[in-house]
Order: sequence, then C-alpha cells, then structure tokens
Amino acid sequence: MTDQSEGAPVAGSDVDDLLAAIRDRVAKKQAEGLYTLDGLTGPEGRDIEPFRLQELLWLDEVAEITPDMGLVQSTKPGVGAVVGKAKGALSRATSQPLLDLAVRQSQFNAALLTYLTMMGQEVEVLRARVAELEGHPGSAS
Amino acid sequence: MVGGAETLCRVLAENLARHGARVSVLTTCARDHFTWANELPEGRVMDGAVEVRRFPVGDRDPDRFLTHHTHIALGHNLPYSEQLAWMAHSVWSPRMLDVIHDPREYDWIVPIPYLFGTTFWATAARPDRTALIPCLHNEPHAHQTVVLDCMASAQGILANTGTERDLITSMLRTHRGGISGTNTVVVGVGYDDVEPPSVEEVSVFCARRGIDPGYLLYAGRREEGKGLPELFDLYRAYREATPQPRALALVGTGALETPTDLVPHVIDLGFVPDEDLALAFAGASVLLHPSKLESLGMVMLEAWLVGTPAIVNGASPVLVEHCREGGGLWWMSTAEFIEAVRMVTEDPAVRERLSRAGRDYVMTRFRWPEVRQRFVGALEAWS
Repeated sequence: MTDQSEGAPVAGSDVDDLLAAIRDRVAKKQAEGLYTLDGLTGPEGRDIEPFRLQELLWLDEVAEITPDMGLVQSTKPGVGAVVGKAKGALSRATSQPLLDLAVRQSQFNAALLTYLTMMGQEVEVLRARVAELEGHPGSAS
Repeated sequence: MVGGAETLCRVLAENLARHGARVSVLTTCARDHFTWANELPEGRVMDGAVEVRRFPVGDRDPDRFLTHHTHIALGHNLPYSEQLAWMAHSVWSPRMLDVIHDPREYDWIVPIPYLFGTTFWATAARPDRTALIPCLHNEPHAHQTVVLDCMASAQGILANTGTERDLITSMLRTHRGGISGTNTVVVGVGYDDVEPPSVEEVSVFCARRGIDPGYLLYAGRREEGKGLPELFDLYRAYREATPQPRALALVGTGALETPTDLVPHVIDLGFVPDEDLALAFAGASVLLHPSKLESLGMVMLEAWLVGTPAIVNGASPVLVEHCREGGGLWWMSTAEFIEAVRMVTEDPAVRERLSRAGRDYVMTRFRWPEVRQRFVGALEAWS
C-alpha cells in the first residue's frame, strides 16, 4: 500500500536516481516533522573531521581506569596514622561503587576506542585511495 | 557449513573438481567453531568429486586465544610476540601442516579465510605455493602485523570483489615499506544459469511454511556481528512508519533472539535446506542485508539470482559495490531504510527493475566458466 504522501513512481531510473528519490522522500517527511529522531543520520554525523590512527595510540594507555587504593596512606607527621585510617575507612566505604563506576567507564572507553580505531583505519584506507586516484586520475573506475 | 567462507570453499572445490582438477579439502575434526573439540574421525573420505581429509586440532589454550582476540577487537596494540601467540592458540593442526609441508602432496595450497590459525600456518608453511583467499574485512584483526605479513608472504591472493582487492592493495602498499610482491586478482564465486522458481513452486513453499509471499527476508547467522540487532531496530521503525507493514522472515540459526515486541511480526523459518533456499529467496519481496563486514555477500547474489532485490547496509563497501550495478539499494539512516523498503515493496516497477538488474549482474560477473578461468589463470600465472 502506498499512502498519499509518497512521490511519483520512479521506475526505469538507475540506482543513483532511486537513491535520490529516497532521499527526497526523507527530506520531505523531515520537513513535515517526521524522522526527526534518527540516530544514524544528521549532518553533524557526516562532517566529523578525519583523524590519524597514531593520535589514538595514547588513548589506549588511559582507556582502562584502575583506582589506586594505595593513595589513601598519609605521611603527615604526628597525625599521619589517624588520617591514613580515616582515608582507608572512607576508601573501603566507597570502593564498591567506585570500582563499579571504573569498570563501566573502562568498558565505555574501550568500546569508544574500538569505534574510533575502526573509523581511523577506514580513513587511512580512504586517504590511500584518494592519493592513488589523485596520482593516477585514469585509474578511477 | 558455518558461514560464507566455508560455503565459498565448498562450491569452489566442487566446481573445480567436476571440471577435472584434483581437489582435496584439508580440514579439522572439529564441528564447533567455538570449542574446536575433535569430534569427527580423522581420515579421508570422498564427498562427490572432492576428497575431504580431516586432521585433529592441535593443542591450544582457548583462554589465551580469546584474550588476545578480544584485545585486538578492542583496538589494543599487541606486541608481535603476542600476535603470534594469538595465531598459535587459534585453531591449527600439526598433522595438516605435515601434509602441507610436503611438496609431493599438492601443487597449490589455497587457505581460506584469513582469521584462523589453519590459514596462517598453512601460508607460513609454503608461501611460494600459497594462493590465499582471505575473505578480508576491514576490522582491527585484519590490520595486525602478523596478518599483513601472512598476506605479504603469499605467492598470490584471490580476492572476492574489487573492493576487497583495493583494501588488500592499500594495506600491503604501506606494510613494511611496500616490499610485498604479492599478486592480487579478483575471482569470487560462480553460479549456474538456472531458471528462478515458478510462482506455483513459491506458493507451495509458502503454504508449506504457513507464510504469505512478499515478506521481508533476512538470511544468515543470527549474530550481533551480522547486524541483526540493528535490523530489528530498523524493522521496528519501519513498522511504526508504514500503514500495512510486511512481515519479516528469518532464515538461519543462531543464539540471538527476536525482541519480544517483534515476535508477532517475525516469521522464524530456521534452518532452510539448500534445495529450498531459492524458494525462500523467491518468496520474499526484498532481502535485507544489515551486515557491515562482508567480503563477498553470497546471500545477496543468491537472492538476485532468483530475482529478489536487496536493501543493504550502506556501511558495507562490498555490498554497495554490488548494488551500484546490480539489483539493490542501500541505507545510511533509519529514514532511508524505511523509504527504501517502502519504495521496493510498494512500487512494482521499481522492484521489477531491480530484480532484472540483479539477475543480469550475477549472470554477467559470476558465471562459473569465467570464475574458473580467473582462478586457474591466476594459479598458472603464478606458477
């Protein structure tokens, strides 16, 4: 069934024309207030500046968050032992939610880094392809 | 048969053997590609014209493999020694390697696909007589130095598509200063020119399965990696935006379950035997292919062969390459997915045009005589 908002038939067109017709329909419906929450599209998603893989390497080192519970020690003269015990108690009291948070943040960082790395690899491939085409314009097919 | 690479291996071996080549398939005694437990007997059997030789899987540490495999997937940079350990604890077989090492056994070794120890160590055993079919995906594992070394050492690489060939070429161009002399040619898979099933045959199939023709179809393993969760989300959005939405049929098996809210609208065809697959494709109005990581896309080519168009994930360069000249469209957003499905299912002229273009594409690019010629020609050129 075709509802009344559909465009005219586009039979006989090639793939580019069919895709253009699809994008026209999307644009018209977006103008009517439909398809406004589309997590996979939007101009900001398509205009991300390219980056280089090397720039991501340092992220690998900081992606995993490991709280250092040894930091609760105190070396203040006289009151160091008391302060250390207080910090230790506070640390133990908050360790469970803190570790849970750290694990979740680490998981999020790892997933994000994976996506960034995959995108970086695709950018590298595309850069090489562009360089090839610019060097040999006749090789485009 | 587990996936596309195994199916490609089978049909290539069968076709080459039927046309006079001596072909053996060297494989393991495992059935489960997660445990790799030796379940089948070691030895030789004939499967039609193809000799199948099974070898026991060698000792390995599955936990160590999984740790390395996961770290690579997460984008970690492993030292070379750990990359080697990743391959050492993947599936491999020392007795298979003994056979591969022996030059009296085989003229050419054709390992497939790239991500397994059997392929890696087979290539390392006789690189000068290796024609590798990597079935390469652009994923973190493919960019590991050991994988690049493996590809760079092979005498030749048989790519499935031009897109895969370009990916391989670009990766090897910068690897170790571009010293690799590996040749890469596109071979792919072949199909016979058979008539699509008749309307009557499709009707009988649908009646037997209790479904109405014209359904949307997903065919493949039910795994996250194949994009099925994304397809469920897209299908939900399509249903909400469409006055009379089509049902979604699933062909294939796997652990991933249909979301509860979609269960009433999803038809589970489960495992469909080879002889019924063409009927399942022909009964569909359109094949939906959500996978991003494809090196060939055989399911789509099989659907096109019987005249069923496809709508694919625009993030897959290989599938998009096929669609540019074949019988498919692609989506880059949920809205485009909905409109593409509606266009193909609601405009008979569009469906007919894509149907014809898809079948013409397969019969032009993937006929067996030309595929055999490309395969044999490459090996002769590299001899």
